Amino acid sequence: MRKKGWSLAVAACMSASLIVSACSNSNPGEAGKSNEGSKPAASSEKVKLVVWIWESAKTGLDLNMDDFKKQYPNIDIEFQLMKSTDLYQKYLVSSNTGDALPDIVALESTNLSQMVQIDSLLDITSRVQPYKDKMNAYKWEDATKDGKIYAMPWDSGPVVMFYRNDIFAKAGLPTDPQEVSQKIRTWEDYYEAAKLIKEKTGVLMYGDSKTNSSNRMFESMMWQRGLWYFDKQGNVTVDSPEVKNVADFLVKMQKEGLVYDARANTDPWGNAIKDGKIATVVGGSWHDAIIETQYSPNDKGKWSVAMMPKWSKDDKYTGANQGGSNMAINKNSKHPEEAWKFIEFMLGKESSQVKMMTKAGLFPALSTAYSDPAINEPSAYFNGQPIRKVYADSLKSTYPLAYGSDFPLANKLMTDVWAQVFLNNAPTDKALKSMADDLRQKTKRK
Amino acid sequence: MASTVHSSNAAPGTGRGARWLPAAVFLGLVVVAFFMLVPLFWLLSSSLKQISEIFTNPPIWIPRTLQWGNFAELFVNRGFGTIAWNSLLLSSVFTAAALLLCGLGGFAFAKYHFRGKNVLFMFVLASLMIPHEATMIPLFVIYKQLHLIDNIWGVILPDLANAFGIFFMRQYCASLPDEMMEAARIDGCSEFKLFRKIILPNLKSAFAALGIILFVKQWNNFLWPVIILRSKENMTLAVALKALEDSNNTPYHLIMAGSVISVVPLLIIVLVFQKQLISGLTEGSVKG
Amino acid sequence: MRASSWKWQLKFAPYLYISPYFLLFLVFSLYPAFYSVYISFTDWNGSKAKAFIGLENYAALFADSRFWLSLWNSVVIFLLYVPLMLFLALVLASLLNANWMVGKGFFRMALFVPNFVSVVAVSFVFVLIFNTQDGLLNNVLRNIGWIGQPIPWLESPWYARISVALMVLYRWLGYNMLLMLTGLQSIPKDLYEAAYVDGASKVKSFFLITVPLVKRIALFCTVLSTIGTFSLFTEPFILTKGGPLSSTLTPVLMLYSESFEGFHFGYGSAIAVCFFILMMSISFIQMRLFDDKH
Repeated sequence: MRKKGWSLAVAACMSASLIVSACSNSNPGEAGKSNEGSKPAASSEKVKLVVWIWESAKTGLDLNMDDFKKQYPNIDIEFQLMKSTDLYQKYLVSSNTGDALPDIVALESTNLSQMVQIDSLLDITSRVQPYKDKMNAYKWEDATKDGKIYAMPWDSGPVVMFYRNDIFAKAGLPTDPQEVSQKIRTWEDYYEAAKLIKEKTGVLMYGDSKTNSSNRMFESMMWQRGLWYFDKQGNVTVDSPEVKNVADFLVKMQKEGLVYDARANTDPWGNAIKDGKIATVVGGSWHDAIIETQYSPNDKGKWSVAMMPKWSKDDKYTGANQGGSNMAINKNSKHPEEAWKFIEFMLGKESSQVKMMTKAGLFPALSTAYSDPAINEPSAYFNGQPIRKVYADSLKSTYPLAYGSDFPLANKLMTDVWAQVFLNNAPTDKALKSMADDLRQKTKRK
Repeated sequence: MASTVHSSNAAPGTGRGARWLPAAVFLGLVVVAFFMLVPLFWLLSSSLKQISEIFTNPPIWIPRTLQWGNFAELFVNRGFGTIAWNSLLLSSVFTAAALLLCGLGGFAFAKYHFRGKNVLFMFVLASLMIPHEATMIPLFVIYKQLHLIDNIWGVILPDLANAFGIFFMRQYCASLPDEMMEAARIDGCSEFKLFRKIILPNLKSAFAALGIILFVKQWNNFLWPVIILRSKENMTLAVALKALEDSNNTPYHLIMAGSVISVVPLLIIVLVFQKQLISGLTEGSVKG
Repeated sequence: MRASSWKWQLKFAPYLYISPYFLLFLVFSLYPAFYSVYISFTDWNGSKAKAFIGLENYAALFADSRFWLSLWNSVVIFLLYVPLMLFLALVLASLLNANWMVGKGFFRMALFVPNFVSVVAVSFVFVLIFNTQDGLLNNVLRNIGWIGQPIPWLESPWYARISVALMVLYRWLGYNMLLMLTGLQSIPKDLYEAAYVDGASKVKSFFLITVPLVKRIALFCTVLSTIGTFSLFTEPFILTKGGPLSSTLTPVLMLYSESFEGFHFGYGSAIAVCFFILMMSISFIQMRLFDDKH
């Protein structure tokens, strides 16, 4: 008798937990309505979409939410904010467990291909057809697997050189963007300018960590020449002589004390910018908002934007891409139609994209948005310079390259290459070689 | 009343030393305590700063204007109300359930004679050797089938079978007098009633000691929760702190405020129950 | 009728009382432990089909320099903090045991507080304190003129290990001190008095009575610290992510990242099994150490 009571209690416990989990895995009150997602939106059924996203990206979407609600009153959007790296990890878990949540994920291009490979995103090939030619061409490659497309491009991060014109002036360098681009055409010129600036003002040229580098500078320099961790066939090429030259250049900059030792986009790096210890930021266009609002709000008029230096004067391409995002739909989502409507509204509509460009610093991958007058708008903070024009130019001459599915791992291993060089005095070619072998072994590539 | 390790009096013959030695020792202790408390002070102070005051030189020990808004931001916009409640619920439910199971188990091992008792108890001791870390992967896979991922029960269940707790309660139950139970049985008490009416009230102090340890442990539990708890609705404080990190600009002021939220309730509980906590911690380890 | 039911109850009750524990233990501990061994012989990402590959995971693991490095890191971190911690704990315990000391309760609590404050919270505070360019520690050291160049607390291999060790020391000093203090207080006073009557000097009775006991507790603390150090996860996870150059990678951190970041469940399980064997050996040594002398 008592035994029965006990097993009942166990059963109760078990079922209670199952009920709890059943509720947490579907929207409360929506359980069992899985098939109604395909109903036309005209019905008064409310649909809730869960979007996983990080903060700065959500800021962009918020600008268009009112318009979206007007057009689709029956779609409720719930944003769940998290750090982007946490997002990928959680999404990996989600796909591993076959969850229906989230409906939509924002994905940086850096991690897009990795996510496409795990077969958990919805095939949207037919849906993106109208946008195939409107988006920056390089964006599609990472979104594609076996000829099928799994994500919609959002923004690009054309790499430019932000520089402190007052510090340039102090060092006797030109300050006008056109003249700066003429004076600093190659990386060698950049290095000479760095020496001059340090000598005359004590300011360092850029910020990057010796032992915990984000590799962004290095990757931009590779990208603009069509070099990468992998080649077109997906073989590992990070131990090629060309890549070694790029790495050697950055090592030279560090060893001659021209670099502020802090990881890019961290607080110490931002503090150095705030204190005027750093003269240039070579990085994606999205840095403009960060410099203006976060790191350098009191330096209005002191920052300008020019093209990034080239490796050699004769190089065909000058630009590179850094970051940029995309949106994709979870294969297991119960509301794929509504999810696509949301994505199309946010990313496929010129007016939405222009708003995100002007107010949130997200430069559209949607090239039809570049004909908008906002492109030529002078920026008050940046000395009245029409900075978006520079971004558009940079994008036009960007090498069509893709990150590749093993980029996150390659990036992680690369950080240790610098650490080997600076901490253990390893020669760059050796460090690159052992990293390349490591990468080949871990990714089973050639 | 001799002190043990070395005498509190200086060596005989140095009468003068005896006067400054205690003072020096006291000062040494003050220095150690200072080092122990500085990080905690830094935690508190940083939780009331703006983000721009976190990394400064010279360091800001006390923020000019206290940013209570950090806490408002957490509760209003980042769901910390739910998150704090989850922590409290999870730790409380776990502690209550674990105490009951450990009380029952410890009592059975201490006061009953039954076949296989010794073998079974060896099992309990042996189970101490299976580290949680070694079973995470299979548990994760099992949870996928049971839908326990992103569910606080998923955090509670694996820790419930607590060998240390059984051992602890067995030690304690062994000290209860047998006559008490015999008398109850002669009065016609059923075994279960006996446990409920006679034993449970007598286990209060042991429950307090074990309970506080279990509560603190669960409150600060991180590795397993960070693997399985994923949504804001189900997160605990420890997991939520990590989730505040950002790849580009981590809001350290909010992380610090969140840390304060996770530390203060515990601090109060520990100060109230410090006797039980200390006795519980040392009971299970040093058999004097 | 009554009597028989009473007998039946007496026989049955204990099994009923211990059954929940064993049920949970089987489902959440024992079965997963065996399952873990099985997964370690497969190549599996958790969602596709398992491929049986025999000992390949182990072969790869033993050839993986990061695995050996993670063990070596644990040993290094252990050596960096345990001797110092035990020494400090003993000194502090004996001071707090002295009968003339004032404010004992406060000191005991001040030392002990870091132990129950959330590890995650403490780790983040140390992220702020150890920051190279703008951290509290470097700023204070610079301002009092002890260092010219900032120390890369979390950015060079040895300093990173020292930082992790310092943090572990900070968290566990009070706990170990409590254990020592309890040990010291458990010595019956009359032992000393008896020794005194027998004409033993203070020094002699110290070596005869106090030292053996302290040795025993120190041994116990060492075993606990060994298990604790090999199981380190949260501190390096938040402070350094295992870097720089994997100098603060620990076995559990490696297990975590292989399993729940890379979803290499087979390889991760091989790490788990090795970790399990390591912990078993430590526990076994512990039993041998404490069994032969009661």
